[in-house]
Amino acid sequence: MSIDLRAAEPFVPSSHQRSLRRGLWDTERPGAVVAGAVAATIALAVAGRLLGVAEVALVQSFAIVAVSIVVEALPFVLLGAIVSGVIQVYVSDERFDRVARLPAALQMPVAAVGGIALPVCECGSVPIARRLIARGLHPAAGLTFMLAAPIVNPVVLLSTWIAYQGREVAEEMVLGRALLGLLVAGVTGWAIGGGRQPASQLLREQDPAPCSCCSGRGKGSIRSLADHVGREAFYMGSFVVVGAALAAALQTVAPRSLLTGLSGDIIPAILSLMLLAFVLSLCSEADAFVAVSLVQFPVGAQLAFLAFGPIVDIKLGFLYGATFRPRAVASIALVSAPLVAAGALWFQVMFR
Amino acid sequence: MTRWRAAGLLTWAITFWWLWLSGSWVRFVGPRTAWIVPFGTIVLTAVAVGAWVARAEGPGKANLRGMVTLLTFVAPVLLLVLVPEPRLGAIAAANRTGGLTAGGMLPAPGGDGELSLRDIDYASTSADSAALLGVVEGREVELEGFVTHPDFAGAYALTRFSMWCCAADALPASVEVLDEADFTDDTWLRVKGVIRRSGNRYAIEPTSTTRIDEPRDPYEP
Repeated sequence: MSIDLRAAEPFVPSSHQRSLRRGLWDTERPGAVVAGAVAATIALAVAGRLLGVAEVALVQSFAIVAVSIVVEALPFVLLGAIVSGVIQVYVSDERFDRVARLPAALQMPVAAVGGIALPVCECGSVPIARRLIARGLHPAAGLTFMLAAPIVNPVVLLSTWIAYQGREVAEEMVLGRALLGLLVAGVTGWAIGGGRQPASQLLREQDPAPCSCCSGRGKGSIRSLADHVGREAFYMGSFVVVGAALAAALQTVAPRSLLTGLSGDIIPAILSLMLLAFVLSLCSEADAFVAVSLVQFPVGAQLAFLAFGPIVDIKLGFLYGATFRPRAVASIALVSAPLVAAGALWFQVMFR
Repeated sequence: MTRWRAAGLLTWAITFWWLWLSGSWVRFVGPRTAWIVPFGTIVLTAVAVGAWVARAEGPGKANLRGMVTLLTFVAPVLLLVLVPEPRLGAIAAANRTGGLTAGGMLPAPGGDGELSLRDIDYASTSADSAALLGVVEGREVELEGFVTHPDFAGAYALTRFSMWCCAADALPASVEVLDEADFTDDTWLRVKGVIRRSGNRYAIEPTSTTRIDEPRDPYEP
C-alpha cells in the first residue's frame, strides 16, 4: 500500500503546542496574567499593612533610599530615551553611514567631546550610546561617549567647582575629573569596542525599542518618537529600579564604616571610595557635594570617587546589563577600575 | 503591552505630581537637586501622554514577561503606598557613622549665625573647627532632632541627618544631651540648653526638653 504525501494536510500545531514552544514568559494570557499580578500586589500590600511592616526601621531605611535613587535617576533615563528616540526616528541612515565611514580614531575624540553638548548623567547616556552603536557609530566611539558624557558635561563640572569652592582645590578637582574621565572613557572604549567585532557582538540582541516603520528614513512621526521613548524609558527604568533596590539593600544592612574605614593610606583610601561610589549609586550631577564631605579622605581618593561613580555603580551595572552582553559589562568594570585608581594616585602625588 | 507600558509611565507621572505638589519630595531629594522633581514631573507627564497616544500602533496583549517588567517598573510606587512616609532613623544613623561627618558638607559659616547639630558635631573634631563655627562653652542653643543612643553618649544624643543629593548620601550629626531623663530611639525633641564639654566632644546641657512631631523636612537645612 502506498501513501500519497501530496494529499496530506499540512501539520498545524495546536494552541497548546504553540504555547509550549513560546514558553511561559511570552504566552499571551492577558486576563489571567493581569488578574494574578493585581491580586498578588494587593495581597502583599494588605499583608504588609496588617503586619506593620511599614513601621520596621530597616524597611523605612530601605524604602527611602531606594525611592530617592529612582526619583533622581528616572528623569535622566527619560532624557536619554528622548535623545535616543530622536536619533532613531529623525536621523537618516545616510547621515550615519557618512559618520560610520570615518576611522575610529576620528570618531572617538568627537564622541568624547560630544558629552559636553548633551548634559545627561550616566542613566541618560546609556540608551543614547546604544542607539548610536546600533545605527552604525563605531562601538569604541559609542562606548567613549557613554562613559565620558556623565563626567565632562557642563552641569557636572560646574557642580564640582561649586562643591569644592572654599577648599582651595576647586580648579584642580574640576580639571582632574574632566581629564581623568576622558582618559578612562577613551581607553575603556577602545579596549572593549576597538576590535573588528560587529555591534551585534557587543549589544544584547533585544532592542528595547524595535521599530521597522520609521528607522532609516529620517522622516519619522511624533507618534513614532513617542512610541520609541515610551519603550526605551520603560525598559531602562525597570533596570534602574532593580539597581536602586540592590544599592538600598546594601546601604541598609552594611555599616558605612565597612566601606570607609580605610582613610589613612592613599591606596586603601582610593579603593574604599571607589567601592563607596559603587554602592551609593549617585547621580554624577550632584555627587561632588558628597565627595567634598568626605573630609577624612585625601583629595586623590575623592577624585577616584568622582571618576569611578559615573562609570560603574550598582544601578549602572543593571543598565549596562540591559544593553550590552555580559562580557562587555564585565570588561567596562575591569578596564576602568585600575585606570581610575592609577589616575587618582597620580593626581594625589602630583598635586598634593 | 503598549497600554500597560503607558499605564506604568502614567503611574510614575502621578507619583511625581504628588511628590511635587504635596512637598513630600523633601524626604527624598536634597535642596541642591530639588529641580529634579518639577523637571521629572513635566518630562514624565509628556512621555506618559505620548506613550498613551501611541499605544494603538503596537500589540495590545499582555504577557507574563511584560507584566513582571511593569510591576518592577512601578515597584517603588507600590513601596510608597506601603511606606508612605519613610524616614532615616536611629538605626540608619548608627549604620552611617564610622569616620564620616556631616559637618564637612557645607563651608564653615562665619560663626555668627545660629548653630545646628551639624556645626556642634563638627566642632568636636578640632579646635580650629570649633573656633571657626563659634562653638564655645556657655553658648545658648535651641536644637531639634531625634533621639539616638550612640556609644559616646551617656543618656542619649540628639541627631539629625544632612542631605546633599538624595537620601542615599544623607549623613547624621549627633550631639550628646547631658540629661537625667531618657527617651526611646527616634523620639523627636526640641532641646534648649547650653553648650558644655563632655570628654573630647561638645554636648548640650538642657534647660528644657520638649517632645515635638517630626518636622515636615526632617533634614538639617
